[in-house]
Amino acid sequence: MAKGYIRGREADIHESHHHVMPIATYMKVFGSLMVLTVLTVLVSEADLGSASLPVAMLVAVIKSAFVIGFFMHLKYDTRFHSFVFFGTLLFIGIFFMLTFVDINTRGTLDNLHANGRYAVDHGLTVRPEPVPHEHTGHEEVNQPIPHEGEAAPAHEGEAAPAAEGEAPSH
Amino acid sequence: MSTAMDVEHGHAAHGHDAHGSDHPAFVAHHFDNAGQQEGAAKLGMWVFLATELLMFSGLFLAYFYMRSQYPEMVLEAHHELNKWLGGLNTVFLITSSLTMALAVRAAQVGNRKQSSMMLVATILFACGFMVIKYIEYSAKIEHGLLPGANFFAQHVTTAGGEMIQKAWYGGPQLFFGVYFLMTGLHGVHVLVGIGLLVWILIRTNKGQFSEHYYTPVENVGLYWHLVDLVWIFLFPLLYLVK
Repeated sequence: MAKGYIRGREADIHESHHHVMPIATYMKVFGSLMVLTVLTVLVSEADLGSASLPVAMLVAVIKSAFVIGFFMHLKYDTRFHSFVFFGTLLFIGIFFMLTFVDINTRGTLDNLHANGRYAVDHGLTVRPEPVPHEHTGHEEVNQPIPHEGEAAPAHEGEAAPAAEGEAPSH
Repeated sequence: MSTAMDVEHGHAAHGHDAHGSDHPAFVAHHFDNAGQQEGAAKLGMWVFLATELLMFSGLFLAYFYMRSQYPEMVLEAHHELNKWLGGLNTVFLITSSLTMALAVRAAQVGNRKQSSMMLVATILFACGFMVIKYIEYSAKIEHGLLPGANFFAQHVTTAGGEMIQKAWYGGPQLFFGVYFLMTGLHGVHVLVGIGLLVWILIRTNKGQFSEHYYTPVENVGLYWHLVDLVWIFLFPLLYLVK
């Protein structure tokens, strides 16, 4: 006889077959869902200010918990199904969190680098924004010093560009 | 139809017989027994539901992004939606979820007649949902609120008497784009659900399910509850902005 895991303990797989909930339980869940639906509408009518979205979402989460736990039987199901479900929620959470970290900090970074107003407002010192240069400026700054001895002779035979010519002066 | 007979036989052979004749007609050849088959089918269904959640999560993220960037526009535009029709649809879907759960329960205890009655009720509530959706969509399209070339909204004005703009950036067209995408994808799921429910109803009436085998009823039930679940979030987010 095949063995499996039901709610974390080893059991005969056939046991999972016959978890029948009483009709009264379904009715109670249905009643709770209806009450919570009315509550959702009342929340939108009430003047909760900035709390109304979180409260509405909290009510929706409680309603889903009823649907998932009882109508979808997840409460009495094998734990592996819960793992699949909550694993999905975890990744949706990561998806939302990273996106909102990006969105909520974008303006700050723009201000820091574009016009420096954020820095001025907050008393921060900001280094001047790097100006995009043509070739000459960049290579002067970035020229690695150890290269000088080796690279310079190799270039002699070729047509040396203007930028290369300036570098050995360091 | 010999299925019912086979089912009975399968159960009789269930006990603890040593020679592995535990193979009623409803168990496919590659499964050891009914329990293993049911476990595989339900795991598959839960993984599918996980992909459904991931698909909808992208749209929910788009909604929250829009709402965080243009809160006033969302508040203004959502007044175009009829929250009583949306609320009625919420009641329809929750009630259909109850009748679906009761249909599965009736199948579990082998009450075929009750199961098929509950499935019919579920289908009726699902159709009621689509009828209301149709009424809502026609009103929106008539008011020129369908995004695209026809988004003109000439005769729709805001509370302040201001004409609704056509712009995508921060304009109400963005809200209605999200509205039609989210409720549209959800509506497609309702239509698919109606098809699945009719299929399950036909199979139930043919006597293909019993207390020993009702996995398809259960899995379609899981799908239907997910459709309800998505709407539980859509309703406050789209119709009840504050």
